[in-house]
Amino acid sequence: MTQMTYIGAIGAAQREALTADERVVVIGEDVEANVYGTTGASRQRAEEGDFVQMFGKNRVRNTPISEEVIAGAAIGAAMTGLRPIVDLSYSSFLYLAMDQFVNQAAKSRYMFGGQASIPVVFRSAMFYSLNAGAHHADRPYPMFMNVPGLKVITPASPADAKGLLLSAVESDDPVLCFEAVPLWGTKEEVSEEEYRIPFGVARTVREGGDVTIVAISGSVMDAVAAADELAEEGISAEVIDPRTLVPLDSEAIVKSVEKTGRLVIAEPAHRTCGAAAEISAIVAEEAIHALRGPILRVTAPDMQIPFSPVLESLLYPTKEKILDAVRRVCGEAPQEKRSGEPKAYADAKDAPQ
Amino acid sequence: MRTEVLLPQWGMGMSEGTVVGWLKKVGDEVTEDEPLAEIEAEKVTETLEAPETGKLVEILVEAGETAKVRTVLAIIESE
Repeated sequence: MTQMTYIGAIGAAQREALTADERVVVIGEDVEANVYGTTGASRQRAEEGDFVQMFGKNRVRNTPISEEVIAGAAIGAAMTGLRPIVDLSYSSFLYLAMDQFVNQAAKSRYMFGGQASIPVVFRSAMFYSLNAGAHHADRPYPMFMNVPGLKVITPASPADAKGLLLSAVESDDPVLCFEAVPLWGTKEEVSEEEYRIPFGVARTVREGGDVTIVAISGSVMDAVAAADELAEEGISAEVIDPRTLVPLDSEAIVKSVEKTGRLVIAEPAHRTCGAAAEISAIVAEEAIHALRGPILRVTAPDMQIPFSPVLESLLYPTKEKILDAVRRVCGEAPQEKRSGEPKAYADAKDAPQ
Repeated sequence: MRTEVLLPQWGMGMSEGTVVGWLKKVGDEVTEDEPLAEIEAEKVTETLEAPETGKLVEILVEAGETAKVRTVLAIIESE
């Protein structure tokens, strides 16, 4: 085990993938110079040099600044036997390659009757809450959830980033990996061994019985902070990180809501048709009998992202906004709880709203 | 005049920094652009330079502590 940052874990996963399988290549703008910090040696291995020194220019290749060309070349390379990892840098730049993602990557396996597979990973980072302006701050993963044929993953911790990325490289379907830049500096103990985290298996970050908080990407750390604060008030919150949005572990979410009877969903994307909307619908369809209050979404509003640090910081889910939502859900519907009403719940009902 | 020494946002992906160590202590005279502290960010360790000439009168974020970008790390008092 070793201390790794989120961005360091991504670099470690790429290095392991390149080492394990010679069909794996890394392409993207300025990957040779390790501009993004994911195609170089870690501090512990500085003497080994960057990926270009380790694996050669044949497997680590700069591209022109043309997202459609990058994505299209990677899809073609994947069809003909390579397993590319594509660094598209900013998630906002995915739009430039929309036709390649939606019409080619997502549809080719189906349209060619399974004769071609598309084992390609498209990585991109969401530069939100960093005053990067409206052209860089998008969190567009829900758009791609709406495209059948694309897998969508949103790692929220260093250990998950490494394990999910290795699974992505081994998937024969196109995978879009959305990385949250506010998480880049988060650190935890990560195994230096190769390990894989399967897609479609949610992670229960905190166990609890009073309310389920499903949190996505950068909102996981806020949800955990909220759960810790709620625990001191006597409200036991379960925090679930789906880890992968396509495929989605709806079973884990439904089971948790059946246990707690309450659901709050937090994510940094916009509200309309976000991942939270989809999760709300699934729970409404499959677990309405268990719900003891409304399902609440804590998301960014349907607004452009301002450049101003002061204004931008008001838009995303925070620990405080998640706490408010949980208190609202727990203050609803004074029904008898199956496990007996927690003291804080009784107090909350009498508290001024 | 009191000058606030802010933690710069050195890169678009930088959200916070950790003070590795102060190269000056409270009471020291500092010159503009002189190295003040070592800061570890997400990707790099960088040297924070003094924005003003004067006396370092306050250190608000101690070595080992982490702060968000644009946080006031120290105060320089100048004529």
